[in-house]
Amino acid sequence: MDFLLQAMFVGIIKGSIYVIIALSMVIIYKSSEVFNFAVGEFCTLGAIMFFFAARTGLPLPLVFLLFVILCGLAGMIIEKIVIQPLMGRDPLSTTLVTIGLSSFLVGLFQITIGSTPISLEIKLPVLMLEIGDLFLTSEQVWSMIFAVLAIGLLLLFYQFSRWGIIMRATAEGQVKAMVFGINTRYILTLTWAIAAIVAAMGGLVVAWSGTLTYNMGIIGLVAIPVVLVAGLDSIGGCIIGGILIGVVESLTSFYFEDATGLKGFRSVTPYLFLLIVLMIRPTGLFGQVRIERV
Amino acid sequence: MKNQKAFFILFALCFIIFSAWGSIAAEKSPVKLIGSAVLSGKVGALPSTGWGFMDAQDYINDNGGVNGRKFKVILEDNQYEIPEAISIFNRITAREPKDELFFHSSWQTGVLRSLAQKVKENHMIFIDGSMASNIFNEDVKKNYPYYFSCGVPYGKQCGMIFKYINENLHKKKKKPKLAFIYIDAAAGNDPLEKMRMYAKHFNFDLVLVEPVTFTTTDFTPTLMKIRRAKADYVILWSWSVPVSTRFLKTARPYLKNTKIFGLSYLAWELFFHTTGEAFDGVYVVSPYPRPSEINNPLVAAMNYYVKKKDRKIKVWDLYLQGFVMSLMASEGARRADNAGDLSRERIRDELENLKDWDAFGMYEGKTFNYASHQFPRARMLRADFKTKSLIPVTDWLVVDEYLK
Amino acid sequence: MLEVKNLTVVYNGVISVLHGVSLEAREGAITALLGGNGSGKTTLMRAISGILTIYEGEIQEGNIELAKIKLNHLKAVDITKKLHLTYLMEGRPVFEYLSIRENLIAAASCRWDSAVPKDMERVLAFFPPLKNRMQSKAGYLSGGEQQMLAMGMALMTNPRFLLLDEPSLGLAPIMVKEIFKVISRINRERKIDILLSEQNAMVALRISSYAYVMENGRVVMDGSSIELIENADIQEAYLGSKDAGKKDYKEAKRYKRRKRWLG
Repeated sequence: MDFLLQAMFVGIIKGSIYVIIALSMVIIYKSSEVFNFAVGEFCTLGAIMFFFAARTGLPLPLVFLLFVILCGLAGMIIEKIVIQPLMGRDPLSTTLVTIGLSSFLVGLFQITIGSTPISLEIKLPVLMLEIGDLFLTSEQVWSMIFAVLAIGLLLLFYQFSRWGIIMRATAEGQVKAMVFGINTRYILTLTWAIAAIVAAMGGLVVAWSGTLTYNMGIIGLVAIPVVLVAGLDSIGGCIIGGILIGVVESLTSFYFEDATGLKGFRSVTPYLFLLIVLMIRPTGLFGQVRIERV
Repeated sequence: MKNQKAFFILFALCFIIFSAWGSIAAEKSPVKLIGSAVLSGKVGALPSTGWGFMDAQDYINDNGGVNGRKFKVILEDNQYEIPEAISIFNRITAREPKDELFFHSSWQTGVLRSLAQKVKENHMIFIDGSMASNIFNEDVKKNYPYYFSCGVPYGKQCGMIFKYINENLHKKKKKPKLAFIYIDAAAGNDPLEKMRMYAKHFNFDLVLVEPVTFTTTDFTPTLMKIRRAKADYVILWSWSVPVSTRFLKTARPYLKNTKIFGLSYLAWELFFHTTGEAFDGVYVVSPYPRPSEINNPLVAAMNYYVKKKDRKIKVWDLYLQGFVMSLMASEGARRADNAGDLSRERIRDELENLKDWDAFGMYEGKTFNYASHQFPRARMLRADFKTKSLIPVTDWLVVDEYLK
Repeated sequence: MLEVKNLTVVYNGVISVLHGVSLEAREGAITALLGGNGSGKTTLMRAISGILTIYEGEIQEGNIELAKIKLNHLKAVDITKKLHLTYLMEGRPVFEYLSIRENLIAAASCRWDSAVPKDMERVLAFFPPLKNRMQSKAGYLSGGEQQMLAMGMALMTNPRFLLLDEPSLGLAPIMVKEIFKVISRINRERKIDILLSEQNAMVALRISSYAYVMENGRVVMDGSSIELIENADIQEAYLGSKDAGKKDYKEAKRYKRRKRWLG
């Protein structure tokens, strides 16, 4: 029973990190139909930004603020330099550009932070959870808190704030938005900035509970099955899909791997899960229902 | 007339060039080593590996070279890819003359295996960072006569840990219970057999042998198993910094009554930076002197170059391996040259028969011999977070004697 | 006052759509733009509102001026934001996945000031059916409601000039009546000038004061609306004259000749 509970908890925590990263992808996909393959590198970028922000020696809340601002700026700059010149073209070309962007960023990170792993220290109170054999490290508990905060804030922003509403409107049709006086260029830049911040949150959590390495962006790959399982454009689906995949992966590592001796099988499970879901429901589990009036 | 003059000048020029070339060629032929380092690639860029070779080359040449011959390292980047390493080996052995190129150094067990046959044929001497138990065992002279390890085989390191526990740590009446956690890859499986043998020999209860993978990010299932098995001691055999870091960070608060041990790839000061306090109190085995031991002549020599060239060494052990492998090579070549037969075959014999040698002061006066094709000595160290250093808890032990 | 002078528009650099169109929309009035499919009404409106480039179109010749300010090379956003001209595209351009409230908020994005909530009340007063369904998604509204919402959104941008592109398209006759009532009310009560493109000529002529007839990218006829309602050619071509069957071929020709001459 302990074992199962542990597996569930670990899965949910892991899943919530996937959710954050996947959300970053979904926001961009919704607004421009671009699939951001560089999302993993955005995570690394965030962790690096935090690393540098923490170096300033400011108090923790200010460090967080600086971190968010830096990440937002980085997202904006990347959008201005890389994405905007391709505006109006086929989203596929932008998608391909993000693949290039990802390799470029990996190289850039290796130059800036080198290739030895770095440990991120965040001085937060220890919130270890230990009940019998059930055990969650302080990092895990905090990453859960971070994830809930990040997801919650994003949802609040996206659903209820004025800018969120405008972003969603722009996502539906750029021309439509433009004739109502919405500056769609600006909104797209904003979208990338927010996506960068969201991904950075994920990266921070990942780097904190492990190490910060220049190539940790590989975790972004797991966001792809999450996004596809969710159905590309559904935020709610993303949350459920991410946690589902986290739990499936965790159960695999707790039970299946031991039973079969297939060590490391857990890394395959997200994709396997994706395959099964897509066979049954090609639009993903929660693909947005197209509003069609008869 | 004009043509004749031009022709004369050309002729003179050619003469000068050729005679200059001739005078260079008249110098003694250099001694060359292939430094197949990991400068980029999937395990990350490790410039320390290359710096070790380069600084050793300068050190040897600053001190008169190999009996007046220049010592030259041919530094190549193998990206931690076996095919790349093999192609480097093939390319350079084909290019360089046999009476100048004698040595090859790299870091991969896989390369040793793949090139075994070829090395037997062309007698190239491998001084390697790999400490694979399956190669450097009792039969190494017969099966891999040209391979020399730059360290103590992993299996023996496990054995040292067992003995150390028995002698110093285990006070209970019951058999000590031990869990062995290893990365499920080539070098990870390598010491399993030897480890089991030593566990039996030193009367250990091996309660858990658990593989993990490079991609493992969450160690709670592994740790739960360790706790359920009620292991008193854990040996972590990981050469991946992220895996070790994550394991130590998670294990420290969870396994309160369990002592953690590591092999030589955990004996890095780097872990004080990546894992912080979680590294405190971890016991490790290391065949090398530590950077803080500034009175050690070898460390002093290395520190001189680190300072002179303003190196930012992240992983001391990799720098040291590059440095020491070159030194070993130069010593072998020097002895063969003294005997008047500078050939691969002779160098091999000289290395194997090194006896009562001080190894550039590596063991602070204690002797070195290469008869078993491995480094003969190692120490147990304990990580101390306060001073951020690995503090030796034993003297330089002669591994084979200690394990008897 | 909106003035279009001798406007020539080309799509993709080759397909000529407008051939020297000139028209005027007077202050305080509703100006109707009549014409069938493909006559160039929509292109004209795209050119005025500055979104032509999105459709790979280009103004080759001519001028568009709003209160003496040249619009030719201004961005769509600036035209809406600074010159207060809003173009309501044909086909009910609402954001389907947003609620009515959110739609109105999104449309007000270019002028976020403290007056917005108040303005929203004023706008909703024009469209009582919307008031009760503020939280439902726009995609689930009926066609008429969507058109109302679209017009409400256009009003939220705080326009002084409105371009309405076929507001009656695909609506039930009773809804059409309702919508046009609102259009003339907006014109009167909010003092907004309107250029209205329509295929449904009769309704358009009834509420407008002046009208232009377009065909194949040219203005073929113009005049005050009352005049045009009486015009036999218009009656024949757009209004469906009662005794159309009795007209002979020769008379149809006369209209065509006149058209060529005007163009």
